[in-house]
Amino acid sequence: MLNIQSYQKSYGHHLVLEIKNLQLSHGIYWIKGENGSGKSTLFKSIAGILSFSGSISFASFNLKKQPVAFRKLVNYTEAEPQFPLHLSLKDLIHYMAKAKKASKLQQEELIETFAVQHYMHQPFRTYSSGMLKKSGLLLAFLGFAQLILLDEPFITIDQNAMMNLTQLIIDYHKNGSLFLVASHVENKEMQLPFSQKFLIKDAQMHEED
Amino acid sequence: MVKMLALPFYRAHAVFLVLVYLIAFGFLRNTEHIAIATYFSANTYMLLLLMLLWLVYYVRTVFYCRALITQSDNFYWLQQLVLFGRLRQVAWLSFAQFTINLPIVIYSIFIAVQGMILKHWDNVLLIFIFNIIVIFVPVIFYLRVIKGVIPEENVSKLGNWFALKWAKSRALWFPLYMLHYKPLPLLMSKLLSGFIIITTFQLYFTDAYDWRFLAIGIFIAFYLSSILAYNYLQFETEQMSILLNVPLGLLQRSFQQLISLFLITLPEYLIIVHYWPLEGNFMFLLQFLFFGLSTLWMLHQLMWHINFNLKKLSAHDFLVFVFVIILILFSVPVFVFIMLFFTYSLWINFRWYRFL
Repeated sequence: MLNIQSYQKSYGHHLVLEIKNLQLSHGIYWIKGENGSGKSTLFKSIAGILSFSGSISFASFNLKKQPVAFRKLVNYTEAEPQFPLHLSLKDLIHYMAKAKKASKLQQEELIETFAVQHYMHQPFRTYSSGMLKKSGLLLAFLGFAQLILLDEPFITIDQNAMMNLTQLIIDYHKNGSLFLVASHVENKEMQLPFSQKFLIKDAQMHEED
Repeated sequence: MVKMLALPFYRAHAVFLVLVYLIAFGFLRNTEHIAIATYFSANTYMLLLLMLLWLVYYVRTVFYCRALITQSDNFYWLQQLVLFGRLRQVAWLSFAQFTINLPIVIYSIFIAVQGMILKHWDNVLLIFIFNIIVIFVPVIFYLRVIKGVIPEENVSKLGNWFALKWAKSRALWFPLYMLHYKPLPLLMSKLLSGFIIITTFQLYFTDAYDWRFLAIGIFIAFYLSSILAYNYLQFETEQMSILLNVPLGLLQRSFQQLISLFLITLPEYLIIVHYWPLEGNFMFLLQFLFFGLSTLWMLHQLMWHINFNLKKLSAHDFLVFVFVIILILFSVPVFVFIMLFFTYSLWINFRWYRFL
């Protein structure tokens, strides 16, 4: 279960997001909100990339008290992933797989699902935005992540990759992963069985019907 | 190429060039010009000094052309250029650079003619070689810049072969990043620190200096490499923010940082070992090597600690700098600093993942 208590994130004096108390059990959650509403900020905080005040814990691990154990369970991909241009996806898979304890089999399956085998050894400077997006998504599924944060996962990727991604989310969810998906895309295209929807507006998170 | 590089250069620097022309030809008579040129052609040291002055102009032209090449407006032309063979690319770029160099080329020919009259053939040859270098070195540089701008041009066959066989180790990511994208700051920092270390070690024998002199020299050399620590932190947090999501323990993270910093300062360690003045004192040498590494790691952590705030950084930086130098002068042993810097870095690294 994801547990967020007294969460606050401000940039300077500008409060971006405040969550007093939020508990999410196993499911797929859709986070909506206008551009700049704070979706990515929330995801980055949960992923341990951005500092915040308050408490975030998942499966009895607190991000600030057990930072390594927490990060083992949480994976994240950005809306527009940026990687150092001289590295390749292969370099990142090699490193992340070791850190996240991903098996060789899982790596190969993900490489095939996202169809990156033909260019994964080439430097990122030669990638298109769709290729970069797929790279980010692939890395988000590596290891034994129980909480996967996907920021705009359905933009810039082709139809085939969209279908594969939907299936992957459903499969991982069946195996016990909790998903937070931030997306502007209609669910007609995503076709995901969302447990609940949330709207971030005026620095607050509201439950949607 | 002349239209793309040379004409914009002359347009942008028209006022400066006219001013130089007026100063050079407005005040001096023909006989005075010949006298000056004869003087330079007869004196190799003065000629070298003049070439050093010309280099300022050439550096300016290279920076200007690099800015033009990386401008998005010129992307289409560059894409056309890379369709031609390398020889033709070199020829066109060389002609453009020659056109840019023309004011100095003309004047250097004038000096060379005086040298020929007086039969100073070595200086004439020097002028000839100099003019060749200042055309081809910029051209090699431009070709590298073009490679960076056109992604498809930027994959070498050898690099591709390596990438197919092996993945790059995490420790190499940052050193390769600096080599690829920030070679100038890297080179400058290496030249500066190398110069300080060698000078310190050479001066050590000129008077009754003790280990404190060496310690101060190494501390300053690594302190001035803080640009590397700054770039490393930027690389980790901005270029690859996803690294902050990687579940690595304190020691693993620290080890990775130390390995990367060690690799990026490898030339300094080689210089220290090669020029080490206290022969046979291996433990002392080892201490000094760790002193350099711990200094750089401490700076890296300090920058994280104060959250990239450059105003704060310079204040903290200066305080630490003065404080450490004073303590060394008071004979505080080097290993104390190593322990201090390592403890501080571990502490900050511990807080890093916990947002404390």
